Amino acid sequence: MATGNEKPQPLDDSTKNDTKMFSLKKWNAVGMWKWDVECDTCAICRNQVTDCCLKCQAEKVYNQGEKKEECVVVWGECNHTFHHCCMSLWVKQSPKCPLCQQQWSIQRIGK
Amino acid sequence: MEMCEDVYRACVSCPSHSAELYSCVQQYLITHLYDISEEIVKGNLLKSYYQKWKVYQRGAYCLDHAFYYFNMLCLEKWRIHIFDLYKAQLVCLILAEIESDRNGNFVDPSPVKGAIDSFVYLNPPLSAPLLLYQQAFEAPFLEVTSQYYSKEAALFASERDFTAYMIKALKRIEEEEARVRKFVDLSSYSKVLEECERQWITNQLASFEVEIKNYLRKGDDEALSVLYSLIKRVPPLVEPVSSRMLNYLSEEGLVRGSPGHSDPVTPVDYVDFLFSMRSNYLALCRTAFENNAYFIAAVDKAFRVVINATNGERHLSKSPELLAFYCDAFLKKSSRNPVNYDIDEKLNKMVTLFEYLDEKDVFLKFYSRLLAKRLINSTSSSLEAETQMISSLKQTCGNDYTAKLESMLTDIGTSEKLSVAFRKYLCDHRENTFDNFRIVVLGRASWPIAAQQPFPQPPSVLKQVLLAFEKFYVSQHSGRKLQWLPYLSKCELRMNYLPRRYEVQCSFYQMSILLLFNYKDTVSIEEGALLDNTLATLINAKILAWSGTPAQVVLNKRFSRARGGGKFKLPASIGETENQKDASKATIDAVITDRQISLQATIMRIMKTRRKIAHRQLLSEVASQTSLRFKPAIAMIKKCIESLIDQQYLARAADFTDCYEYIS
Repeated sequence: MATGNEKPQPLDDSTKNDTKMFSLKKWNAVGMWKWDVECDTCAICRNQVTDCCLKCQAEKVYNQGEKKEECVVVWGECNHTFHHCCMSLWVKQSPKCPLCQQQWSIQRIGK
Repeated sequence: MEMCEDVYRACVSCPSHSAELYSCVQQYLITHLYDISEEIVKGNLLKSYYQKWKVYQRGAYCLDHAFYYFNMLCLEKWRIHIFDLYKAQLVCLILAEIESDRNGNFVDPSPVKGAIDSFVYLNPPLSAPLLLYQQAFEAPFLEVTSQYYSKEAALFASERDFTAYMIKALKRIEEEEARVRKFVDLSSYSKVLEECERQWITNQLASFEVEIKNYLRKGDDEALSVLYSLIKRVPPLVEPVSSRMLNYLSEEGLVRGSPGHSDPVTPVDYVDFLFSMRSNYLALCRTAFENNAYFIAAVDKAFRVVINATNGERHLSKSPELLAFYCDAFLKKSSRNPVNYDIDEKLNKMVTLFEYLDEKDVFLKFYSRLLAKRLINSTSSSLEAETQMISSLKQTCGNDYTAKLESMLTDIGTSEKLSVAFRKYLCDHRENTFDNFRIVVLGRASWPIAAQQPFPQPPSVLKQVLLAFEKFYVSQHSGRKLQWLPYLSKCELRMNYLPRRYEVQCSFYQMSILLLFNYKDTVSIEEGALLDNTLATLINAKILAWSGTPAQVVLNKRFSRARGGGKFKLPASIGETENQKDASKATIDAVITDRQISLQATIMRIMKTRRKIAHRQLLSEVASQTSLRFKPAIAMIKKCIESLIDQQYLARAADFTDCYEYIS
């Protein structure tokens, strides 16, 4: 991004760090997020939890990109994690966590 | 006239007279025709035949009015007493006249045309129409035509160059068209021309096939245009001739355009070459070949061959990669082209070429890598252009193809908002930190970004910001974990210790080392132990220097740059070009892995619906389903089938029918 044709300017005193050898002008930080989970795959659909669930993936392909709600992760009281979509379907059949058979109750939902 | 009619009526009123009248007239006609027959040979046979026929025909016409019934009699008598007698001579004379016309002499058309018309007229009433004309005249005429032009065409072809030959042929055929209209019955028109075209064009097909290549090589558009106007007269020839053009174009394109040919070819040159080749030849189709579908298809096919030509040991085309770099070149803003005025035009070019690619998956891999770079470093010239590009790709390849690219754009959008919100958060919390930053948070699924290197201890200025941001981020998004990617992080530092003011753009690691000098004058290597390569780049750039004591570096206080302005960019690592080659190899490896997965998935999808399928059919279905992304090699499909059999997802049918069965 150097414009290359700027004339060197005399030192100015606008920055308080000028007494130091180097002063930081600009910083471009890059981070990556993932769900704070123990296991990276959703036990129900076998997809990565960072990806969307199998059903959403298929819909994405056929729905020509019409965005519906994001596919997020859900934590149970037992600390097991699944796609929220997958779990919503699961509890219709059985109210238990598919991994530990405890009564399923939502601890928190990813955002 | 009226008298005749009265007589006729009087005669037919009583049937017994009718026969008598008939035989009397017949008798008269015979004597009359005898006289004519004697007179007719006195002068020029053709002319006097024509004159006598004209008078006789008029008489017959009157007689026809008088007694329609007798008309046939007149014609029959002429046929027997005149026509049959002189037929052979007459035809010879007519053919001679026409040949003389072909040789360029003036010939009065009326007697010839008249005589020929009489043949049509004299057709016996109960036989097929035109039979007499066809037998007596048309057949020998076609024979003569064929001989005449075959001789002339052969002579011309041997004496002149082909361009002259073609011009002559065109002229002769056009003349023959006029001649046929002038002399013979129109029912023969297409037959005669067909004969003429056969001699001039069809019999020379081999020459046409050879010469079209020469003309293309010379760029002789006029000759090509003449060639086409000949070829189009014989529709079955268009395809073979156009296929010669296909051969020529693909050979030529491969030689001149192949990326391996004149290494290293720049993406821009390559794309410009391909595009101009395509548009030049399409323009040629328009001007010389009247946009004939066969020729356009030939250009298209040749182009597909050229763009997908494989070279190198991997049997993959270089085009997808070059095309992706081409996009990068025009979507990236740089000091050389701060504003891109012709983005639309370039985008158009790119999309046109993209549609020809067989290996769109390779393109996607490279494209997403470069897009990621542009977005992270915010070097994209405009987000609008990026969006436009992606939606063009989507139109060609569907939603699935661009989903990840789109979510990358979305991530950048949310990150911008997040950065703004974070700055406000800092203000609200009265955190007095360094604030000229841009923080980008990526979602892991869509970015083509590899595993991490450990994060070195961040300089204290930044540590505060990072911690604050982590706190802020978790408050915004519950259940997420942040991980910093230092090697993608870029910084700008100002060098305060030099007479000139320099600003250096450097990587996060370079910055970490440089900031150490804010606190001390020499730094020992152990402190930068993890950063060997980075240290080398700084010494290479003459910002740092080895101090007298071993394993210690100091600032080069006399640093200066001879050329360029006060702002400059440090190379991120030594041997960057080497890295690029590795990266490109890695990208292609990744594509091949992806292909195997996608092929296996496709095979299983097909097997699940079909349950049992023949080998050949499976291959063709797999190929057609994946064609939007890439063209799988048969060997690769086979390998995938093998591996699925090994994993017991399918089995060969037990009845040895060369089928596969789905195992549920």
